[in-house]
Amino acid sequence: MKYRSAIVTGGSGFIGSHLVDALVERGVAVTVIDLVLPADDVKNAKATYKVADIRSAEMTTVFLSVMPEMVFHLAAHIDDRASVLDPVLNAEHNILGTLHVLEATRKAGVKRFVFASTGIAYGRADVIPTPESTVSKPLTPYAVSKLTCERYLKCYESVHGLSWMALRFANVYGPRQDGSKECGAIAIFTKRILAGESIMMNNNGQTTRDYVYVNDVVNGLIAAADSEACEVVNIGTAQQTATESLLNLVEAAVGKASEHIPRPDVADEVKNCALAIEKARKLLNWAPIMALKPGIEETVDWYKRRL
Amino acid sequence: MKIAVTGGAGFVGSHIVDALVLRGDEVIVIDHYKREKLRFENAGSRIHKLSFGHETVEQIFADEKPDVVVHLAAQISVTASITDPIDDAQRNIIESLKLVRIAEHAGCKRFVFISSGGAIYGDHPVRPTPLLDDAFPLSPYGVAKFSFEHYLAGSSARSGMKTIALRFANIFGPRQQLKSTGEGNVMAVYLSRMISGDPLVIFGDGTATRDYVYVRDAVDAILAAIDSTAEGMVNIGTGEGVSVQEVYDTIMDIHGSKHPMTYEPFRTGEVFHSVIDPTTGFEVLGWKAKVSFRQGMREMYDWFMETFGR
Repeated sequence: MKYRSAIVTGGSGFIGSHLVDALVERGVAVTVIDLVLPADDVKNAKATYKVADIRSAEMTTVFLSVMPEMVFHLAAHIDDRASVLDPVLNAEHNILGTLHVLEATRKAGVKRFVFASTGIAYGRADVIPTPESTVSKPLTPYAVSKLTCERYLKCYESVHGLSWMALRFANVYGPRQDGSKECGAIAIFTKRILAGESIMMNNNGQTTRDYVYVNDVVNGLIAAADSEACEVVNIGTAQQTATESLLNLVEAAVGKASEHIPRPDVADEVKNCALAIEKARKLLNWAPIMALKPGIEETVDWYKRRL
Repeated sequence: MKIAVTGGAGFVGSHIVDALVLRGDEVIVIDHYKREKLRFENAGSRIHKLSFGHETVEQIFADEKPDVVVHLAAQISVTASITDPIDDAQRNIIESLKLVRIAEHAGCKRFVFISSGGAIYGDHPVRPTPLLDDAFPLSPYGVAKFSFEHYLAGSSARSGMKTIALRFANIFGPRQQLKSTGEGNVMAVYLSRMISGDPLVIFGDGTATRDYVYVRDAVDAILAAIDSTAEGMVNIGTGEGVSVQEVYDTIMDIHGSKHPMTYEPFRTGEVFHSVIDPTTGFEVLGWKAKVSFRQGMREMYDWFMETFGR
């Protein structure tokens, strides 16, 4: 990577911690900003950790003392379902938090800003795999908050000359994903099957998502850092996988079946999703490497080792 | 009907309150009374001198149970949104979202949001600009308006409170004043400077255009939106662009003599051309602008001179 120092917000989290490892491996001086410190086995000994809330003016103080060359902004309130119940809390994290980070970025003269956005921002797209040229019709407050941040980035480009890229992630999975909330199907399934618990199934298992492996996403983030384009770019696999097939793959990897309980009362706002990745190929020379089956096996192995 | 109007003692708000009281609606005003020198009160309305983000607003809604909310109050300065985008988002997104939740809990059936076509579309190459699903606002102010519209559309789909966002062109007319910060629309700035004897300033070369909707027409559009059940976004404008030079010329013509004028560089974050295609306003609300720019300007001039002139 061409930059030698970076701030990673949300660097204690699932994607963030993998990114921190990859950056440290490339010799980048990494400062993590997160609400919490990571678990000991996830913590990178060569990174600096700063516990701070992105929703505070403290961001500017931290940025001015670190003076990073670039920023990966991954910290966010990521629970789509919870955002419907509490859109204000979600917006405080994702919109006000991002604005605090952006103001700090501007004041510290950061050279490149890479933002973690989401494919859910497209809403119910007519074209699947969905290209970036599709008009976004976000349905949930979480999706609106991410689209809003992308618009702020574009605005900071025209007003302040910010160099930015927003990566719209498909459903990211892999080792270290927290399966305790309502997001991260593979993590949730793995944990529950290993614990001998039943699996709740929305929409008869027919909802489809595009599952992309975390190492591929990390490569996308680093490619986005090195690029100079100020664009929104999808990071996914362009493949749809139904929840039912996904569960079969996880069960095979765990080597254990589970009881499936339908949840007809819970609606999935977006039924089908896969992201087109031609733009990432062209602009970032990026493509996913990990196929779903081995990716799930790697993930399951990690959980088995840990639990 | 019982209607709560945020910003109801201000320029556009007070005109709406007057129109609602006149047609027999019960009106509750929530207004912080801070911005302009003059606020306008209708004796037929109940006035709460509070910011819409104040913690007691929830109790007011719970007690009053309004049927409709007209949400006009906002951080309204494009320049301030660039200097302090966090404060802009705090008021125009976060506190406005809280108001939506409060209104939903109080059983409101209708939420009418006063949005900004000019700030959302930015310098769009197509003019007049039709209703667009996608936009790239040039200022944080425009981004926040765009964002809140999306939040509203989502909540409308999930709750019993149906929402509509009116993407207005630039509203002008009597009661429009300079803010306490000295900012305001170009007409209010020019009229104030004429009274104070300061030279008028054109930022840029005078060819920047705006679409000016007269306040009485704006009120008609808001009334139509209150009474309609339509959801989503609607454009409200005249479809005609008026240049800064034309604004200057028209005011000088009405005034009857020339006031000195200078040119200064164009300001960043400001939109250069903004003209709103009102087709959706007609299709969805049966609304059309009726008052000509010159007629509206005449009425604004008369009010300004009567109120602030010597």
